[in-house]
Amino acid sequence: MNIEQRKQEILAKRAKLAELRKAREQRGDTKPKQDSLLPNAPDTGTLTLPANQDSRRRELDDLIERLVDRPVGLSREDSPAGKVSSRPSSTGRGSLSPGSHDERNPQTPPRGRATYTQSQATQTVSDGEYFADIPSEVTSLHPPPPKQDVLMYSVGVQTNETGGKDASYSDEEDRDSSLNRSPRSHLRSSRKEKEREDKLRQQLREEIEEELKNLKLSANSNGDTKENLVDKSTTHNGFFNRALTSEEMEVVVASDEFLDFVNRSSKVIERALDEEYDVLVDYATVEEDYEDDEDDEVGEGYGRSKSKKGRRLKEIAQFYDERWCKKRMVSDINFSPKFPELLVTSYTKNASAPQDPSGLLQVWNLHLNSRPEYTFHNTSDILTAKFSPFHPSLIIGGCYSGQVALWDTRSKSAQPVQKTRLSGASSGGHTHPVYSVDIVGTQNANNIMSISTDGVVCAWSVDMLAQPQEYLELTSPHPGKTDEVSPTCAGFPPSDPTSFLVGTEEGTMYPCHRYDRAGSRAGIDQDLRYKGHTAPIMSLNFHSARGSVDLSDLVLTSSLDWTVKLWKVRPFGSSSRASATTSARYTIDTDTSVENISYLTEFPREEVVYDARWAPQRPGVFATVDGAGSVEVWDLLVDTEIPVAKATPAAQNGTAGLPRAYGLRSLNKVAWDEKDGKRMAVGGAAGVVTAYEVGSDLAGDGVKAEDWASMKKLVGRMERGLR
Amino acid sequence: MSQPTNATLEHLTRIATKPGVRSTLILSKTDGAIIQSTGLISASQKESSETGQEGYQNAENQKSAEEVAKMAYDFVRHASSFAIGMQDEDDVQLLRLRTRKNEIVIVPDAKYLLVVIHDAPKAG
Repeated sequence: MNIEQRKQEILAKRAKLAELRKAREQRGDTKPKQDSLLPNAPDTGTLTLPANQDSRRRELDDLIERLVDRPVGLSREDSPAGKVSSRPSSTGRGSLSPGSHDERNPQTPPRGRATYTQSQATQTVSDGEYFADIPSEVTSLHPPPPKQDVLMYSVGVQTNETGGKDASYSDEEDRDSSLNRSPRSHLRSSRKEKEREDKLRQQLREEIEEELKNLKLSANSNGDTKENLVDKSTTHNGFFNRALTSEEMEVVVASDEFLDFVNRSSKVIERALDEEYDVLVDYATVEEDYEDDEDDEVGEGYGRSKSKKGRRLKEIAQFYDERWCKKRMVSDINFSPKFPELLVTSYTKNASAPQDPSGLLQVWNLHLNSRPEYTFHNTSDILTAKFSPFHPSLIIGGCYSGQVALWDTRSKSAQPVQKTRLSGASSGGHTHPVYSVDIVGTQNANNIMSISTDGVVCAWSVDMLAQPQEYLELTSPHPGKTDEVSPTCAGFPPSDPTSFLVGTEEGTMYPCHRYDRAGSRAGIDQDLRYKGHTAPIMSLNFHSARGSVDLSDLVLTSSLDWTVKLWKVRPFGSSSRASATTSARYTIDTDTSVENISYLTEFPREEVVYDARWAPQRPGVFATVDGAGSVEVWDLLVDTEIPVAKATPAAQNGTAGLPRAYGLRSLNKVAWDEKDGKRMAVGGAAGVVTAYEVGSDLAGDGVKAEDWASMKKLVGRMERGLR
Repeated sequence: MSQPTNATLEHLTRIATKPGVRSTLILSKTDGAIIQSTGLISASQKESSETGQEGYQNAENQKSAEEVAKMAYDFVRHASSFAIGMQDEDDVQLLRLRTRKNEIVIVPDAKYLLVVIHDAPKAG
């Protein structure tokens, strides 16, 4: 029944509004007429008294002076009287014939009376004018520009209960009728008077605003509707302390605007709270227990003999979202090239929550530990994800369904802004899982390259994922039982976007070309293969550090055969095999005359190695993660047999309850912060991403120039089989 | 689907339960009405506790949610008039107020304010 009442109220209000509108239109119609009439009205007054105009003006002047000097409250109190007597006064003025007025002038006593009636007249005039000017302002409830306080206040009133508005409407109605009653006589035209009138108007305006406010407040406080509990003591200053009802609360809390606000502001707050450095710290008063305790827990590497601190791994953050990361595995990690504090992680599906989207992608911020900066979804498991190096807000990913998807951090939606079609074969895309995507090329000419496990390689335009720009099916050049190759990983040399290496399930690496060229067709190179791994290759990474010596032909692979191997890749497209055949690393398969190239060196581990990545700045540093759950950092310039640092991610809240079973500890991926190589992130089967800060001897800055040369020498020694 | 709502509101609960966080408050910017608050007692509760049993001893020197809301609201208002006074078309984005005992972080927005009061970091 409450609702019924309210509906009726609203209907009534609408009717009122319509009335008001009509009235205003009518007024608009009549106004010009009035205006045209106006010149006639003063005619009678001014034309008949040209002789004594001066004296009359003087009289008016001091009359108005008195008016202005009068206290504001008083003049307001008078105004109703002015309204009522407006008609008589105007007729009275008509009766004031110029002659009689002039006569009375020297004699003081009656003059006061006369001016008084006149003062009333002026007042009505100004009053009437005020109302004529104001209504449009009042109906829209806009405050007058100069008053800051009022601005805050009346905006508040706007969102307030309808009771207040109601009051103002009826108020306006009154005014309208008063307007109709009040005569419009523009008798005065001199500038001074206008100024004074303006002054008066200003005063009146302020008063009326005051009154309006009070009206609204009282309307609110005795309001019939539910929650107008205005605490009058706090209403000044624009602060409206009122309790919201539960319904109102629900409406607010469910509004998109509010949720959006909560999302943004809570992020800011959490970043602020997560900030560890205290700007107010006073080092003079800090007690002794502020010691460096970093070295004890982590960095349990083998090479702890010298300069331990420079090679430490310090755990700085762990990212885990209870709602989303539960029972998912980290499938890829990538740092943003533009914002080194951001990293994107992709996850496989949570089999125990089939109603949740299978694919999950989260962007974490090193300064915001407790929640992801962004969360994205897809209908299929996301197997790999990468920030676009050419556009900071774009993230590309490869899915189990064979789709390539593109997310945009600017997008409101969690779904990809673009993705390739699911029906891969008919549209010329992938039909098998895509474990490897990359963006190759330059700022202005780049492609998304995706490779699926059935050997299909596609190049896509970032703007158009409906159809691949290139489609290439890799087939084994010298088929044995089958001509299929199943790439598990791929790598593009930093310098050449037309060639790439694929690592396959059977452990062989093949060089491939995107395009036909002289003597060879697009696809797997006929004459060359890199043989060494005896189990599927899990990762393949080109050396990308830029230094005085070019090391971009060094490739690092990790495999399920418990090794990490270092390769020196032959320049793509060169078929100069004769020169190389001297070394034991090169053998020629007699049946097929395919040249087999072996690795430079290998690093045997005690576990399957899932990932190995070069540091982005140091010539000899790389990191590996393995199935036992440890992350190791190597520096070939220090030691080629053992890692210089080793760490295991701490058990985290989310995973503490899980059994520390073998599988759950395993780490799948490692990523370096590409900008300065100071941070590293690892993640694995537990769904937790752990970020490390690496010691200064492993980080990007302070690389000595001779390091590059000595790395080159080291590679040379390896090449000659000296190691 | 109330799911996104809940997920969003979880952010708030998580902030509220962070170590060191004493209270949180969401106000409407237009009139200062309290939309949500944690860690604060409302004025009505305070009254009843004052007249009631002694269990609420510390409630007396603790400000009620309404009082805090008013102070925060006024603070933001003055701060934004300061910001606008410095440069037109400017506005406050973040307020961090460090006191001896607390830090107050306020995020003002077009329609709402989020206020978080937490213990000041140790040193200082």
